[in-house]
Amino acid sequence: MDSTSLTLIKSSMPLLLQGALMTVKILLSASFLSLGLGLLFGIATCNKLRTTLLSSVLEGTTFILRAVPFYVQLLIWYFVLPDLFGIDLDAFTASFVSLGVCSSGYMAQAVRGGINAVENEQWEAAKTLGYSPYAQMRYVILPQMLKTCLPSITNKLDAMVKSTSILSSIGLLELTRMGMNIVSREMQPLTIYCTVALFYLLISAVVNTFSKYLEQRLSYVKN
Amino acid sequence: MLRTENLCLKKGKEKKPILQNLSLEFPLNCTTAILGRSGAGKSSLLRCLAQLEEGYEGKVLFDDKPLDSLTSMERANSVSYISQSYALFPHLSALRNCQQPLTVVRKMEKEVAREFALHTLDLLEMKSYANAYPHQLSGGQRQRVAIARALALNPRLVLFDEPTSALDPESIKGLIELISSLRKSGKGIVIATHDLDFAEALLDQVYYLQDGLATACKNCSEVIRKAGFGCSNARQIACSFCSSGAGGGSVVSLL
Repeated sequence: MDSTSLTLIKSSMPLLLQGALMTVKILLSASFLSLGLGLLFGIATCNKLRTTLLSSVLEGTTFILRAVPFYVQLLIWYFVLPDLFGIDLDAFTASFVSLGVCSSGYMAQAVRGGINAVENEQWEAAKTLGYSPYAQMRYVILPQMLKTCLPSITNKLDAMVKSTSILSSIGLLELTRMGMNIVSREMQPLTIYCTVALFYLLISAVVNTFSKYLEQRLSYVKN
Repeated sequence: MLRTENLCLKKGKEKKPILQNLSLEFPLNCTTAILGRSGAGKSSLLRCLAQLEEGYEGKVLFDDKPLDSLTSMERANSVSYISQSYALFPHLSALRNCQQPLTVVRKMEKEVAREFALHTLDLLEMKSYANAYPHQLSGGQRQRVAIARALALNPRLVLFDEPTSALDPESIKGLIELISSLRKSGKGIVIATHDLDFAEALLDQVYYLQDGLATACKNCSEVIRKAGFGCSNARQIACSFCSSGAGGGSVVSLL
């Protein structure tokens, strides 16, 4: 790497950091949304609690969310829904809502699988001890589910980190968009895009480290 | 007293009868054994008593109130069930296994619940394992924690499903002493087992189950020995008992 490249990286750093910050903001907001929705959808569709109508509707919904590409969903949220319902969604809101809702389809599958993997006798033990249905879920099932489905959730969070780059298509000034803007001005794609890639690597590393930490915390649960 | 009225249970697509028209009584301050071969319906009966089976017909009453009409807390105060595999919560230590039901169900303060749970573990000689997780304990130790967890809620009647299935002879001896002391403290005990020696050491009354039908006897250790499980029909137990006059008790056929 020559001194010109280093100078370019140094001068581009404030903009790239600004883009990375936006990416992290979108990622955090979308993660909370997708985990929340995924948890609700997963609980409502697990074998133990499924009801014919509601579970079928939710299963259909999660299928659609997984089947339609994220890019198409983003365009629908940003261009179609405002026209249909007259809601004015800014780029940030449309971005985190579309990413969160799209990912919730996968999160729901992970949560559903995790809950189904908890042995039936655990539900029964909680019931005979007098736990309410809410307490059974809160104190007995979800903590055990978390260990089973943590790797799947981490995978999806990794995928979400990468999907944020698609948000550049609606003009959101996230990391990729910032990189593109700098490249169009400086005409140094190799240096800038490699730096952008390093930023994504760093964000993914943080997500994975946090996941590993959680896995270690839960490692006392013997399968 | 826990009792059933015309309890019937059918399972599977063919609605195979598992329990047929059982009217049984399980008094407090009494140890009741439910004996029978594998598949006779012992565990299903216990699960009905613990309200874990859905779709049974007839009634399960505790102090003449239908058990399914009680709130979950009232039910936990009345009847506790210890399954064959103990079903300890794997993500909680032995102490937290006993403490959590007290804070969640009984709404006890965390510190009070902790002290109470430690006391119950101490009664079962498991205090030194309070911080161990279930997978770090032996079968017998897990069972003691499961019993401590059930007893911490102070239920009036405890149901044991095949409690000796994973225990060595020494642990079985300890379990017999433990159940005897529970019985002396006034609790009702119901044990489903096919371990005759274990049952004989404990029981005040016995129900013999075969093909979903039950025969009830009192003071019947000799009846069990005489009829054994080679008996082709539950009624034969009653017949052999009556003809020999052994045991000095009465035989009540509930069929």
